[in-house]
Amino acid sequence: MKFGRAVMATWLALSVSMAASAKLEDAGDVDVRFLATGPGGMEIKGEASGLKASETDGQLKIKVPVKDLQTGIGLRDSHLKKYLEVEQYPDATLEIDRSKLTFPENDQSVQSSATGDFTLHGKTKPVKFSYKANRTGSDYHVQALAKIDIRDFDIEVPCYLKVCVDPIVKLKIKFKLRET
Amino acid sequence: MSHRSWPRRAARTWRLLFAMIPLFAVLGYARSAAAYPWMIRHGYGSCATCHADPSGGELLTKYGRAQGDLLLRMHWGKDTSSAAASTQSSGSAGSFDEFDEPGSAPAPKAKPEPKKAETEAEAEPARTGFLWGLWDTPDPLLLGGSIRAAAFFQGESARVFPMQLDLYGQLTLGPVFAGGSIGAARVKQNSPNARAAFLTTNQGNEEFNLLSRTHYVGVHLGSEFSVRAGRLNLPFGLRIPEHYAWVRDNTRTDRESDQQHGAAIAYGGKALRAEVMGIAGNYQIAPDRYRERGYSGFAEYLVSNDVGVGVSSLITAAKADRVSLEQEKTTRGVHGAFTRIHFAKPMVLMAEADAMHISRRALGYVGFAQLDYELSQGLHLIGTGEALDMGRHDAEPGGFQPEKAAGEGKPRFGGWLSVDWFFLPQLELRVDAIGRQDAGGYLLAQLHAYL
Repeated sequence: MKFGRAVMATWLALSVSMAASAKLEDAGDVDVRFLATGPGGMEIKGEASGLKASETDGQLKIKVPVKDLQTGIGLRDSHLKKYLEVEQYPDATLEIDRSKLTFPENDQSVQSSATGDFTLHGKTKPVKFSYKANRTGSDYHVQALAKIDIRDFDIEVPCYLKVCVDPIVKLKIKFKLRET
Repeated sequence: MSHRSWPRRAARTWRLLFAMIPLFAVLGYARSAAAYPWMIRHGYGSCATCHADPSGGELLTKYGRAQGDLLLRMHWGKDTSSAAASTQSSGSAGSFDEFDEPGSAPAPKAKPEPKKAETEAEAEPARTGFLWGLWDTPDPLLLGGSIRAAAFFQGESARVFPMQLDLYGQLTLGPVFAGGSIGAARVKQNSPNARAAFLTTNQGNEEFNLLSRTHYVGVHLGSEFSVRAGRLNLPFGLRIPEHYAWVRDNTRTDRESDQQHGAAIAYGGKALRAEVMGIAGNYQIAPDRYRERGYSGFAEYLVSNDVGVGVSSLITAAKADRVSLEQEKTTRGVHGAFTRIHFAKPMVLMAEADAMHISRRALGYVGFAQLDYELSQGLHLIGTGEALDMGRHDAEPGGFQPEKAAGEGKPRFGGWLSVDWFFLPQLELRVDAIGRQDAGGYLLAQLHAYL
């Protein structure tokens, strides 16, 4: 009996150790969107074409390419890319210390918030975000919401024919993380 | 009309229609220009961003002209600037303030790879100048206009007629602005159209008259409020381009010639837009006993990115009724609700229902529902249903009371099937097949150049 408990304890300890060392990476189901607003209820909903996530030394890094942002109007996409200077700064990234995140048990979900270093337009600022994660086996189905002020990232407030957008932009990201 | 003769006659009619286009520049009839509430599908829930009129219609701002070029028309060949050139997934974004419940949002679909042209080519700038870009007016000056020609077919009869010739303008100096429309029209003596907007009083079926549907001065009070005084579109319900729809025609709130003199205050916030107008009467009709005085107003709230709901109310009183010609004090009240719902990327539903109380009539109602499906950018398939009951007329002093009839004490129904094609910059071709109870079916085709 004692031997059985010892085996169980060892197995659990190993499992926890392995889980802690299992690295996270993206596993699909990517949906990256942003919402900018303008005068009179004008809404610009944009989408990014992809997302990559990886973990190195306990730091989770989420990278979204901004070169192919789509806003629903071709000319607006072109203007946006100029404001973001995408040739020079092709990605937006969020880096978070994994230890600051709460991970749910299997078939459970957690909802929490954290702060990460968000880099856009070559400028890095801490950004608070809220997130929700549902776990199914080794997969975490993640949703994250955040608000940024583009002026914090030295991005000029976009205006077109005297119609300017609000500098506060909402972000909504969905993707799947997998422990490997 | 025999089937054999129909194609030849139709071809002749169309040849005549196109041949007459230059003539339409000097002829006019009655029709208001466009406002497209279905622009909610592109994130434009309010009107003031694109129109000089805070509640929509007619004159476009420069930004509105650009959106017309980018979003309204069909783009042929290489396209780097339109809505079609920006490839988005078809799924809804849902809320940006709350997490989606598992299963509440469809799994994101793989997006098509952006076309090479989209990613690498410089997007073509939008046209913002008057007359197909011929004159890019200075910022304080907005100019626009509409030339509209129509062909009408019913049974064996077919006729082609000029429908509209209007120029619009607005000059803004600081917070103050002034604007309006000027046009020409020729209508038959018994026509309900155009006369209420005439500036001149030539009589006869072949006489032309100058008309002005709107003219106003106003002031912007910050970025959200504006006050205007003059002859204004009545703020009420859905500002649709179909002035002939019962919901506009029978509530006398269309933009064809139902404008009134008065003063209005408009508000355009992020989620709420509203306008209320004190109606002083239409001073382009006489005598004074026909002038209706009262108020008209609406408010619309954007419940979400894709759903707007609104309410409207109007009460007017006149010493005699201009339309029925009853020489007794006539009070009209119309109160109702409307909605715009953007379902999927190409589909918008618009609906309005109003109760009507009119002196010497039982309570009536009018309703409208329209589904707009944008098959491809610039090509719209539209289905519309209408219902109308003006209310049965009371018994006259002698005791005579008209029998209940469709639309007069009994419901009357109508339906439209339409194709609206913005086929080239600032050019629109629209065909409506309209069937109305007790009026049969007819076909209306329009060629519209919006300057």
